Amino acid sequence: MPRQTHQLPDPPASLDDERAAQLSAATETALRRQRRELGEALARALDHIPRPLRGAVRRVVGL
Amino acid sequence: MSAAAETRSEIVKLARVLGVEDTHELDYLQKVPAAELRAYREAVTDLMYDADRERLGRTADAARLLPARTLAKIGEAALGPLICAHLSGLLEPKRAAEIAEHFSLDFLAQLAAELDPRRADEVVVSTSPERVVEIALALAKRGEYVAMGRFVAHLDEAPLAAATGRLSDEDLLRMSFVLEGDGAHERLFERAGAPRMRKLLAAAPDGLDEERAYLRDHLSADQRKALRARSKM
Repeated sequence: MPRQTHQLPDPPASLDDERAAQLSAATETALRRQRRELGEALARALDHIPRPLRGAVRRVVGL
Repeated sequence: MSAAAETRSEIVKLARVLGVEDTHELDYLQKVPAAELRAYREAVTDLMYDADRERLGRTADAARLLPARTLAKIGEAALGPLICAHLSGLLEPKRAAEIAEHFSLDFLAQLAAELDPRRADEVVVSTSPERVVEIALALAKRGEYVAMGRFVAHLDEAPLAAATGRLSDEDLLRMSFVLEGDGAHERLFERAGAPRMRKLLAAAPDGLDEERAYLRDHLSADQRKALRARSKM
């Protein structure tokens, strides 16, 4: 499944280009960290699901 | 009202959203008007919640297959507070509250620290006042004042009064610096009462002068007048 892409918000207009890029980079880092955490957490969660239900859960979640 | 303090408050909130532990890393934002930073922070919060909405939505669908106790166990052991916070707004409020009953207090506090209460308002409202106080104290212990400040606008009077009564003066001051919502400081004043506010706002060598000034600036004219009046209690 292709990864959804989301556009970062425009930085505050009063920031110069260098600072705006710095802020966007910090935002991108936070977003990537969250996506990584989500992927890892969902993979971990499967191990905790009762075995008879794992297939159904995997199908619903799309893993 | 100090524009610099308004901006500082927004920097602290944005740092929490971005997971930047040392707020000084964002000092380059000090000249940005608070309104611009607020708009950016809200856009980032929306992005963080919406970026994986499809996958999280499917996870919420899968949650219907499992009993609440099992889900709480999985949430605490595997999903973690961030994912559970995002899922809270995607589940039926009653179901989310049912699952939350099985979480440990420590985990609930971590989850609350990640939660955007605008997206789980019904879950927040359905939490008992006693639980709200426990969570507020646990959040204060973790220094999660930004999260505490987000919740005030979503709490009914009873839990807000109960929590205000149990939090320390320092906790209230630090939280008030990052309070969200129109009239939130005035509500806090009403719940805490003028005598406590007078004590809280009295100068002290604790390095919280900016927080004191910020709180005072956000009170109504009548409340500031009440502060100046001699206490009859």
